[in-house]
Amino acid sequence: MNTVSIPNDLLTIVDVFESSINSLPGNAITKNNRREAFNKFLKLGFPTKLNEEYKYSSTDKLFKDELQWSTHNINNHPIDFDNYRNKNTEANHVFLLNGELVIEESELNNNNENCIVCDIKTAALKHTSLFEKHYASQIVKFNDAFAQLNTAMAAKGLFIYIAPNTKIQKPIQINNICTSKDYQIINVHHVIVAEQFSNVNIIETFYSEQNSDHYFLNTLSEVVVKDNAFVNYYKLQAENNQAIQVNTTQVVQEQQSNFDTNTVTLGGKWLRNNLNIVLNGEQCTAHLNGLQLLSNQQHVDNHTLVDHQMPHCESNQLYKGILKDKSTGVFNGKIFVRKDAQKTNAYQSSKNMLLSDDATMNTKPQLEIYADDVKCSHGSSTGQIDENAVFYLRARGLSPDSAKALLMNAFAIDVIHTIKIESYKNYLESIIEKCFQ
Amino acid sequence: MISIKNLRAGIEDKEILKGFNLEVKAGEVHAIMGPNGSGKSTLASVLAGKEDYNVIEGQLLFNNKDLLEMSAEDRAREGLFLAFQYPVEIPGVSNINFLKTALAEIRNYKGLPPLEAKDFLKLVKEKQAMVELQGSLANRSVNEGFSGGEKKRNEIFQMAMLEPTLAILDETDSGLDIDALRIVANGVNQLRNKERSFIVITHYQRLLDYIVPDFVHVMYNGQIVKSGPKELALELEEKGYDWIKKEMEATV
Repeated sequence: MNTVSIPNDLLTIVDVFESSINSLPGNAITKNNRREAFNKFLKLGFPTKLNEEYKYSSTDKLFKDELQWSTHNINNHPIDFDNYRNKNTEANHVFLLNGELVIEESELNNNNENCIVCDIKTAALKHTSLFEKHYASQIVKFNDAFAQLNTAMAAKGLFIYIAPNTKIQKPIQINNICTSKDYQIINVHHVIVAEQFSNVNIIETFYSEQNSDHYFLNTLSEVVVKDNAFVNYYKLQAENNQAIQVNTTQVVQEQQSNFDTNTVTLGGKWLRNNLNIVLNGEQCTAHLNGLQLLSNQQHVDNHTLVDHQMPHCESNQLYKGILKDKSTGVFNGKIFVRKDAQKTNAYQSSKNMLLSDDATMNTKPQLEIYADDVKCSHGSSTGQIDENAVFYLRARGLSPDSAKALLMNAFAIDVIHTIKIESYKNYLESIIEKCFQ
Repeated sequence: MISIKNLRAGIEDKEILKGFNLEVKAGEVHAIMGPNGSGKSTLASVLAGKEDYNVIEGQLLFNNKDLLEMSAEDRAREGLFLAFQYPVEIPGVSNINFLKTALAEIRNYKGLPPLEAKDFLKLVKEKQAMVELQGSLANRSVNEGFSGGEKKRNEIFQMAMLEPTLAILDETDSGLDIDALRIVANGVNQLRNKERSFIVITHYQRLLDYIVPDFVHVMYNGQIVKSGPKELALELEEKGYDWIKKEMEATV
């Protein structure tokens, strides 16, 4: 450690890490990975504007005071879990309260002995070899301070394992509920493994309870999609207007696997979503979709990276945003097509609607193609609501407000239509329609 | 029904309507013909309440209410309908959903509750048949990917659904083949009655073979320069608009 000079503002974090490393989940291998991640974090430090990847999402002014590492002062009013369950009745709900699994409220067995759902502490003890194999297996390569910090420090999170040839009928819905305030940092680290020919639907939601305030949820999911497996992983971010979130999803797909993801962002103050997909086998398919409806001073940054390493794979991205007031959005979509990845189909589209002169959207497609027989395209557009269409609707008797609501809903809804879980799709349709009323 | 007096209007600094006068009574069909650039479409837009146009002077009374004081949506709710020359494509908004919202807002304006779902669907079926519009088109996004003829039929379908008292057809015949023209005209004719009036704006006489007007007006340089019975349209078809232009220039 003495070889690295540590900036003053990170000294507290070093203390916290050194005093907690022995009690964090995981045995020797995991502890090693944690230490490696921590050293990497120290080298990287919290990203500033000078960091190209965080150019539009500088964290300089994000944490006004120091982050709180202790989890005291947590608001303990009773939580109505049914309120969350009722939002989507056709799922097996799992609750994480400030990252901590609430066992008595969660349906963990999914009626299937070939499926493990437990917290990472339990996984490290009961499913040691599986856990050690997968925890931090991919993330170490990723040059992101938050991902490294998370990997080093996370004591909470879920371990989801689907055995080969297993289809999980009901979606697993992970509900993250935060009650924190005072810039408490919550590191949550999920490990999701779908073995060969397995099939699982996962929904992950993010909510804040009333009275919660500024907190920083640093959440990360490592997802392994083995040969011929199907994983749909959908996220809904609907936190309070002070919440800070970094949400990293690191996916590795093996041959002929399918991964579908959709990130809907409605709430939160400052969010950064890192979605990295490595297509590590032939004939993989990955769909990445996202919708942001932003207002006030919200800031949402979606960074995607699809790494086509092998031939005959397809990736498709559709990201849309509607930005009001002084909100800001970022879409940065990187596609790598490696030399061996011939016959790649990679598409990307980012479409945005700005409803005020003060809203800003930054989009940046980045394609790096090293193979010569591929189909790749990207497109990006940012515009205003179509006034001709508004007039057309008004000329049929619609008020300007309902005309605009109809147009915004139409603009947004095709992102939702890509969702393959009917009940969740219907739920999103209904809440999104309400957003425009 | 509608009374337009000395209407002067334009876009930006350009005056296009230069003292336009027209009186339409209940149940009448008036055709407005004229060469390109005479101000026909501007008239339609000003009547429908498009804000891009400035009204400089004049009076617009619709059933004795001052149209100039009304927003576009209130004009529609009062029973004015414009069939657009270029219907707008609106991806993602289904025709049916749009009409349901429109009808509900119009009914709400009149103090009526929205139609029951089954009554609404019955109405849709009935009106669709009137303009020979396929069911699948009604369920599609508004005008998206429609052919020219389908778009115009969709305009008439919307008109049939909303049952206006005054319909303005802005070059509804443009881009239509003879079959589509017949279907559109047939739809309009079924909607003709003692209470409902039409202003049919067209460049060509052929639409008027199917929708027979009570009066024909010739518009030139932002004004009506000649009015007459339906036979005037035939004369125009035969002689072209140059005849009018020459006559106008001669009087100047």
